[in-house]
Amino acid sequence: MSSEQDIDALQRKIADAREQIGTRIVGQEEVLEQLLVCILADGNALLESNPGLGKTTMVRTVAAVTDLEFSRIQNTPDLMPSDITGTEIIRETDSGREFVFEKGPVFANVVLADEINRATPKTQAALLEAMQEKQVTAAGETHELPRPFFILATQNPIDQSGTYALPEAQTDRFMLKLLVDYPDYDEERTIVDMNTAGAEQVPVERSLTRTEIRAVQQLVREMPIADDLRDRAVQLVRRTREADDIEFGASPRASMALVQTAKARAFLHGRSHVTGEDIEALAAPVLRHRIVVDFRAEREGRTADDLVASLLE
Amino acid sequence: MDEPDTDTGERSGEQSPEERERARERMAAAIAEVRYEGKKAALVYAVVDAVVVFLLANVVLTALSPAGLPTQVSVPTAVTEPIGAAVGRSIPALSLPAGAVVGIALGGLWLFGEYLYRVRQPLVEQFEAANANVTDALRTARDTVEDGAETRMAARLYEDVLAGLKQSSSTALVDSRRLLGTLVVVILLSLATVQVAVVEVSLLDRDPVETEATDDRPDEYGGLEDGDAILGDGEDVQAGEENLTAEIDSTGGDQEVDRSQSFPSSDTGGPGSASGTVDSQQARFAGQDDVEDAALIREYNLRIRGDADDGDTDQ
Repeated sequence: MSSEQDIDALQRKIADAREQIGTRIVGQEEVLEQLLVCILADGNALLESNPGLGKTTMVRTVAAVTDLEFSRIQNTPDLMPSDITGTEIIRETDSGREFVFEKGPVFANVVLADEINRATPKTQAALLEAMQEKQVTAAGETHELPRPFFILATQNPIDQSGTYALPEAQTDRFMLKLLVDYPDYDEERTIVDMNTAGAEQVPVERSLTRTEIRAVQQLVREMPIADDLRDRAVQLVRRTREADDIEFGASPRASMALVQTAKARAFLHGRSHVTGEDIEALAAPVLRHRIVVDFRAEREGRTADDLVASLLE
Repeated sequence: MDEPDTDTGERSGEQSPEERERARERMAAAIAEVRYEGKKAALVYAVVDAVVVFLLANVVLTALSPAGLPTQVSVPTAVTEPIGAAVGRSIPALSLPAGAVVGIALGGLWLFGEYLYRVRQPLVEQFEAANANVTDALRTARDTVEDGAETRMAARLYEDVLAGLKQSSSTALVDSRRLLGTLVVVILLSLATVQVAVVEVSLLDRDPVETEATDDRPDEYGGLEDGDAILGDGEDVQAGEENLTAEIDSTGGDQEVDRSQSFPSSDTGGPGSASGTVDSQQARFAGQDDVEDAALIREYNLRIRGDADDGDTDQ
């Protein structure tokens, strides 16, 4: 089988996986695409949505169709870092007592960190460090996290009491910020029918292995991009630092994230090159959590997405 | 599909580095061909536009005949001589209409400038714009080739683009509607050029056609004029330089004549003398090479005859 056939086969498998997820998740095509882009780009996503919009189901379904190990962390103010990363415990063995590292819930391929802004900054930092370094250090020992590793952290935009908002420096570590909106009437009716009649949950088939996901992540890194498109991505990010309506612009990490996710989107769409459409589609998810809107623009009701859209024009 | 051999998805059947290098070279050759096609299209546009500029300048200058511009411009011998030497014959002094000369100069400048401008535009992007099936991919392949990338995705891109190029056409580089429109303009300007030349349109206060040999004489005959003014001052005729030797054999008569006479003979007895030298002379005028007016000559003849008739009658 030639290299091209390999790539074609992987792209077909990803399309199959996407289709499988679509059988369980109604609507939300854009969010689902961005979620897959984030996984293929070997990044992590921050998801903002109101409760009850199916984000847990979405992540569980992604894990189900890709044979990835899934875990969920419900963040609370009393959650300790070791509750996430794991801790050393004393275990009785035939040869006596010994310290054994008990892995925390972060040791999974797909981790759903629910309501991350409810955890204390110390716990948040431990989680984000694990996310960034792809490893956990406990009792002087470093433990590699399984690969692929993907964290989907959620924030509830409504209830802000008793929360610890993620600082800008921390949110910058998330490759994408996804916004989940309410479904339209037809979609909501389908969701109701799907979940209140027949089987408890729509079955999905496993169509992508974790090894294949690793292979795709490598291919995404090799995805060619035209110089002018790369420059366009970099210039877009740089303009966020110069725009009057933006108090703080995005970092070079945003430039890297924009190019990398554009490559992943191109692969997801079965292409072998990046287009300007990829850059435009991912500009808002990459930049919306990395820029701070100026108070004057905010007073006029302009959001980060509005400003990114104006920068794209 | 084969199972991957490693975590990074390397497969036993994938392309070898040599195959990827060959794919990159094929892609480089294809991009060079695309650039060549772009240059050809640029030349087509430049030539057609230059013709329009030439015709337009020629028509405008011929019609306006600006006072500061001579009507005719002599072609320098520095131009004609090499051409004459090249074709193997001497080319007489040439003069061209000034409008045409300016038009040629402007057209040449336009041709050069537009061609340079067009080829300096990214040719690959121009080809992409004309062929939607390789949009973005072709310039990505160009940049990837220049980077020397030989990854699996790059090889896949090269194959995709080469397949796309098979379905694309360089004829789309030339906008046929624009070209057709320009050709219509060329035809109209050509007709206008002919019209201006025939009708001798002059929009400014100037004679439509002037020659370097200015003829101030009126076209209509206005009576006798001073001959010297017309024919120029007379000069002494110079002796010719060519000596001819003629031999005349005479036959007939009863007596055989056995004498030959050569001209010029050594006898210097003067004209009419058998022994005199006959110097060939060539009469000519050193004045202007004007063509005598037929009506004027006729008038002279009539006057002379009239005088002669009067003289005869008086006698």
